[in-house]
Parts: sequence; C-alpha cells; structure tokens
Amino acid sequence: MDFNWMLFRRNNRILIGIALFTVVFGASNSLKAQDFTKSQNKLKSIFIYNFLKYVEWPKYSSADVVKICLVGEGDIYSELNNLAQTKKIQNRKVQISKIESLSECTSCDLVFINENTQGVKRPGGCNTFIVTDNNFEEGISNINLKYNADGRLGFEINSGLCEDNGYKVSSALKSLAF
Amino acid sequence: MRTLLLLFFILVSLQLKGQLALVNEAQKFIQEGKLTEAKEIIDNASNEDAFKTNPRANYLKAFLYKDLYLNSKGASKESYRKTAFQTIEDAKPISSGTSFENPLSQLSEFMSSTFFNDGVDYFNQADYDKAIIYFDKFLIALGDRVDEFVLDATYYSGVSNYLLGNRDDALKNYTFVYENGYENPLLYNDLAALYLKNNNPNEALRYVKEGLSKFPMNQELLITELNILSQKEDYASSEQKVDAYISNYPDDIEVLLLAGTIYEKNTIEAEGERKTRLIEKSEKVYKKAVSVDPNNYHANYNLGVTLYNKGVDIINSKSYDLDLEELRSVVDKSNDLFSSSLPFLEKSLESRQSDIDLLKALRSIYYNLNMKDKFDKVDAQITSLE
Repeated sequence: MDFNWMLFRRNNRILIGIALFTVVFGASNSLKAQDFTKSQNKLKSIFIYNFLKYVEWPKYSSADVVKICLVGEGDIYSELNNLAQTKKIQNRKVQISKIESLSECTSCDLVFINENTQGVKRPGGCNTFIVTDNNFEEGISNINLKYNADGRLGFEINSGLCEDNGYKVSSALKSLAF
Repeated sequence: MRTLLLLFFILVSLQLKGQLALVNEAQKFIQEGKLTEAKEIIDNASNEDAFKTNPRANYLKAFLYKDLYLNSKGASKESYRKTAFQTIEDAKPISSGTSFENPLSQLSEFMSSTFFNDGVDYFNQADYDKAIIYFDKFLIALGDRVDEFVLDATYYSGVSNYLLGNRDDALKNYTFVYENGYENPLLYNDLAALYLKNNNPNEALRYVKEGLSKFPMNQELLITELNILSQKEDYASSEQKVDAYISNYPDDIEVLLLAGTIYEKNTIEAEGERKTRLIEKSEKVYKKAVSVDPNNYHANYNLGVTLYNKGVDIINSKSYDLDLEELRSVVDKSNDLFSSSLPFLEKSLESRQSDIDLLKALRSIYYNLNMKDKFDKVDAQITSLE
C-alpha cells in the first residue's frame, strides 16, 4: 500500500506584526494650546501702560505712585501686578487695587472697567481717566479697548470727554486709535 | 496442546487478515473523502488488540482524525484534534524503526502546527489570552525543539503578554528568543518599549542601538530611538537624528509628526534664535504633514496649535514698554497667526469634538474674529463638557 498520497504540507498562518511602541505623536495633545486670555490681558496691560505714557495727566492722586483701580470681575489683575512690579510712570511706582464701584474713583489715577461689567455710572466730580474693555459707554469711557472687525485689539478715544476731564492725548496715540 | 496452539495461530492470522482488509477499506474511504464511513470502520476496529499493535492501522487512524479535525467545526473539532494527538502518541512506540516512523513524525508536526495557527488567528483577532494558550500548546507539543516557529510562537506570546500588561512574562519570552538568535527588528523595539515602561531608558536605548546595528533602515527602530532620546531629554541628539530621518523619509507622516513633536519639545530648553528656528522647523514639518495627509487629526491639530501658540508667544514675549508702532505690529502679527491657525484647528475638531483645550482655543479665536455663531456653538459645547 502506497502512503505517498497522505503527504501533506504544513501551512502556517501569517502573523500580523504589531509595533508596541507608542510613538510620541500619539500623545500629541500634550501640545497644549496656550492660554489665550492671558495673552490678551498682556496686550491690554501694554495698551494701558502706553495710555499712561501718551496721555498727559493734569495731576496724580499721589506724589509717588500712579494708582490703577479695577472694577468688575476679570483676569487682568495679575498681569497688571506684573507690570506694577517692573515699571514706573513719571518716576512713580505703579499700584494696582480693586474697587467696588466708581464712587471710589477719585482715589485712582486710572480706572479699568472689566468687560461685562454692567450698571456702572461715573459720579459727579469724578474726572478720573477711565478705560473700558470692549464696552464703550458715553460719558464714562475715556478710552475703550475693542476688537475691530478683523479681530485686532485696538482702542477708540473719546477725545471730547478727555478734554472735559483735563487730559491731553498725544497725537501719536490718537493716530493709532480706531 | 499443539492443536490448540495451531488453532490459536490460525485464529490470529484470520483476525490479522480481517484487520488488513478493514484497514484497506478505511483507507479507500479516506481517499474518497468518505470520512464518516472511514471513522466507523476505524473506531470499531481500534479496540482490537491486533489494531493496537499495527503501526499502519494507527497511522491511518491518526491521519483520519487529522482530516476530521480539518473538515469539522465547533465542539467536535477540538475532540478530533485530541484523538489525533492521542493516537500519534500511542503509535510512536510501535512505529519506531518501521516505515511509519517518519510519516507519523510529520503528522505529529502538522497537528502541532494547528496549535500555532490557532494562536496566530487569536493573536490577529487581538484575543491575546487565547493566543497565549495556543502558542503554549504548540510549544509543549514540540518539546525542547528550537526553530523559527518556536521562536515566532514565543515572541508573539511575549507580545500578547506585553499587551495584556504581563510585563514579567513578556520579558521572559523576549529574553528566550533574544538568546536564541531571533532575527526580528520588532523584538528590539519591543524590548526597548518594555524597558522604557520599567523606567530604564538606558537599557531601552541599548536594545534599540543593537537592533539598528542589525537593521539600520528599520523605521520602527529609528522612531523608537528618537522617542527614547527625546524622553531622555537628549535634545541635541534627537534633533540631529530627526533631521536626518526627514531627509530619508520626506513624505512619511509618522516621521514628520515625530519630528515636529521633537522640535517642539526641544524648544523647552532653547532660547532666542534657536527657539525661533525650532518653532519654524516644527511649523514646516506640520505643514508638510498636512499636505501629505490633509485629513490627519494630529497633523492638523499640531499645525493649528503651533500657529496659535506662535501668536500667543509673540504677545507674551514682549515687554510692557513696547512702542506704539511695535505694539500695532505685534497685534497684527499675532492676529494673522490666530486666523491662519483656524482652518487646521477646525479640521482637527471634526475628529475630536470633545477636546476641551481645542474648543477653548477656538472659542477665543472666534470671539476675536467676531464669528458670533461659531463662538456661541463652541461656548455651548464647552459649557456642556464642563
């Protein structure tokens, strides 16, 4: 009896290779989008610093400090504090404080009203320089920071109010306003 | 007494002749593919003493059960394989030195390979627990033998163990195949991955370098080497090597993305011009990655975030006493970068709708670009996720 017909061939399956190493890009979400708000607060602080440089104050509230007051909820406080620690205006230190309302404005050289702060009114006798954030209010905003249609942060100046409050805005600053 | 012995001899001879006829008949059925008929004959005859001592009959039974195993499904399949193996084992002593010794050995090897194949099938289906069981059965069936299949089975048991988190068992498997000269670049890659998981980057790098000395153009090993150098914070070496890999693989999406990530990581230690150059390099490779694969999430996300972060960095790197003209220029440049990042971030959002960091970045950009509808939509998504 011939058993040759019973010969068979081994037929092994093919293994699918798996690369076990998780390459770095697999965790590419570790590439974090940085804090946009922080960068915008930095820009706003630079603008405020320039307002203090390019606007002539009739007089400061104190002989040795320039006082910036903040009204409303916002994240710019720490950024302005960084500015205060490193910069001087007219050889005066910069001091940052928070106030509840504009009724305290006379103790401030510049008031910054945070965005989305509602129901703010300038009290009679308050000639303090007021910067609003993306929220122009007639009779309140000396300067309003705003984004133009292209999304560029800039500012608009209420020249009449500035004059009425006794501030001289330099032509350099005016030329850059919206 | 002699008469009795003669009668017994005649009876045994008749039985043997009967057995021979039955075996011939069963073989005929097997040749014709009539396995059920063959099985009936073989099963009836296999309890006879004459069958048990007949090498040819036993070989035929093992062969029949091999065919039954191959042609069946479900629970009976495993039972046929078991009988085939048992018959082979029973037949080995009586076949030794006969013409059936070699065919029986081949049959044994074939049946062993069915365990290997099952292990492979389970592995390929990502059922790693079962893959390990069948690879082990294969290795037990082959005893102490070491050949390419034994090394493959051991290696893929190692891979299965690794994937199941059994790192000690995986290391035993890998070490066995490594010491027995297994020539597979993935082994070096996997050993590196294992040692890196065990917080031993130096040993990981040693295996990668050894692998690269044997397989110098293996891409997995090249990428692993870069990953390890990057994790070891060997920034200079990783940048130098990734530059070389890009020139070798200019259109490889993995190399491009890895390069971008390495450049980004290297910016942590860099300052000034070098930092700027690294950011430019990462932007360039991500742009290339998007052009190679426009729908790739990582390519779009990384390019979008790189452009966006560049815009943020331009602002954050400036001092407060920036001149008014410079300030205008900073605003313009950063804004252009935010705008240019937008299509890539939006594209990556298509793949990851609940990436909170991505959504927040988009919300800021939409706000600034006065895209109110999109802002509202993303803002609502963020609120629902938080």
